[in-house]
Amino acid sequence: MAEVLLKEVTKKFGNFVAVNKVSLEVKDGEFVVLVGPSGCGKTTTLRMIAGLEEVTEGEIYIGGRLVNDVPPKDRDIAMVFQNYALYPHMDVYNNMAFGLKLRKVPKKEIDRRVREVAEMLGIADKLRAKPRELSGGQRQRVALGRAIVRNPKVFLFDEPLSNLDAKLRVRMRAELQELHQRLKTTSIYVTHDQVEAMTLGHRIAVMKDGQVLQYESPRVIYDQPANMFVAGFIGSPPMNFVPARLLEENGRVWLQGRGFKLWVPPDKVTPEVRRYLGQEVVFGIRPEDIRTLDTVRELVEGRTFQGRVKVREALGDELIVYADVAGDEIVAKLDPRLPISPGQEVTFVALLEHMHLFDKDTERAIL
Amino acid sequence: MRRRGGARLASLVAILVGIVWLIPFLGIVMSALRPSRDVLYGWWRPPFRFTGQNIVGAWHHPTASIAAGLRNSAQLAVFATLLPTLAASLMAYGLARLRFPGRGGILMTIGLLLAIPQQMVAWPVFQILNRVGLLNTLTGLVLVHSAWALPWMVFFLRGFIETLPIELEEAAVIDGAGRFRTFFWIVFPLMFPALASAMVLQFTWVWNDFFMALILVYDPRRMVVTQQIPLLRGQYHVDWGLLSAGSLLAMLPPLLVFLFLQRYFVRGLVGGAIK
Repeated sequence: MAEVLLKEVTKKFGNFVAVNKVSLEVKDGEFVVLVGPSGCGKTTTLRMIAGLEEVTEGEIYIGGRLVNDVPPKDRDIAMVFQNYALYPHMDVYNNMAFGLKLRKVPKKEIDRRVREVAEMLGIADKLRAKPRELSGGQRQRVALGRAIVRNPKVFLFDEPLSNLDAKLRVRMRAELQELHQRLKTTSIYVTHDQVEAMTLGHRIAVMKDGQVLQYESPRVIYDQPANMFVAGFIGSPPMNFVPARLLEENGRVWLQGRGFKLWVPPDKVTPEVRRYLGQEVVFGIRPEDIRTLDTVRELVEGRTFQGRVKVREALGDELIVYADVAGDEIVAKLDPRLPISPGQEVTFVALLEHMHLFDKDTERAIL
Repeated sequence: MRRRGGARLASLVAILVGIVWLIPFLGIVMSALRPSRDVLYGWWRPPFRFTGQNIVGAWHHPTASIAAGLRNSAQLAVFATLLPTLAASLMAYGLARLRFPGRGGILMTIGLLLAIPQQMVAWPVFQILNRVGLLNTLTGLVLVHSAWALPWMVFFLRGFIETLPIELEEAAVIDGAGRFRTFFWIVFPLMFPALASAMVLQFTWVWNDFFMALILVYDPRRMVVTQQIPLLRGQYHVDWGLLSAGSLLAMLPPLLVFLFLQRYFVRGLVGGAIK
């Protein structure tokens, strides 16, 4: 086991900067997820840690050792590829044993470890099968097993679940979590799936355009996104962003939008927020922090706004409502039993204790 | 309806072409297996009596023994197939996966070499072999055929390697394999369908070659089977039975090699590696 440290790591392909001064510290035993849209540099970052890509600038340390010039095989890492990359001409046993054989581990020891891991992953009866005889889930397990038997310092995962169907993906996600609790090996996991990121990561690094925008625990990423990109990327449906102006009237701070005027709770009026008084900002609120008037029992003064329902999507456990609020679209996640139909005028309540404010130019969080 | 009519027409044409191709072969089989006087006025004329005499005669021929020719040809073809296949697969791997200065130039040169006709290099090759003392030896002929095969094999195999998922090699590298191990343990086994195709083509080519052998080997004891066949003609009289028997024997090995390796042609070995 080991910690991984990236110091201002940059990767250029010709003139294209794929990864731009990324600094990350992954603690020993930690499970870190790199998440972001395709082309954000997350896979390139992982491949640099693996040693499959050379570092243009910056330093990478694994277990305190500078590994920039260390070949992949001497970094003591194992990687699980998106498409599994199982050796097609070898059976499951040899796929798992290959790395150990190359490291001259005694035959008996190889046998013991392969069987133990196969047992753990539930593929013990498949040891003599070739990859093409296995189902997607089984192949995924073999790929995991190949990484685990080596007992490396660090696991690297490159979108390992993206080739599985939805149901299997949920199950493998849980298994990965369980596995990590058992092995406690430092893990770095790349995905574009925010649910995987939220469920698996101790910490999440949200990446965009080769940069890490925020590196925090899932809770903090969700509740205190550092900017509009992070706020919009994590969460489904994504956070609502509505232009508004901050005003002070009668000793209260208000958020004036095209179709609403909301009273900013006093505890939210930080000095930083005050600096934006009289200016345009972006008001952000998550769909689940919007209710309808008849379902809220507390005081609603200064927290309501009117909207006309455009579309409703009943998903069984939740109801997604798209409403038009004086030209702005607002998405709300509501109780599926609510009798709401398209065309209806609804009074919504915004749970402003969960509100966000962003600078409209820099997109940074103000609140 | 129209499509089925078209398919039927295509089948008919294919069958006709097949017959045209088969007739000479049938003729050789017939004249090889029937007594000479029976086929004097055409191999298709009855009576149909069969004999092994021509085969035995050609096999043990006193001046142009087909048995010896087959032995020489076998040695030549086996080595002139294995050597370039191995060398070309290594070269192809390097050109497919390594990035180094001059790579484009090498590829272009190889492409140009493909366009050169064999007759053009005959004289220089003769001189080179003569100088290094390999003229009139099977070793020399093996080297010439190997060199001749390299360009097309490198092109062909490189194309194939580029279709293999690179993640397999990356996985091997992370597992601890170096370049050579990655090649011999992972890439080489996966290249088998391509190698089989290349080997069949090369084996057949070398086996059927007459031109290079004619120029470079003239010791009767070292002559390959394609050189022996014309020698079965007597000076004053042509024994067509004997000649056909020799041809038939000479034809068999490439056919067998093809039958043995053809099942690897289509069988993709990469199944299950990815996805």
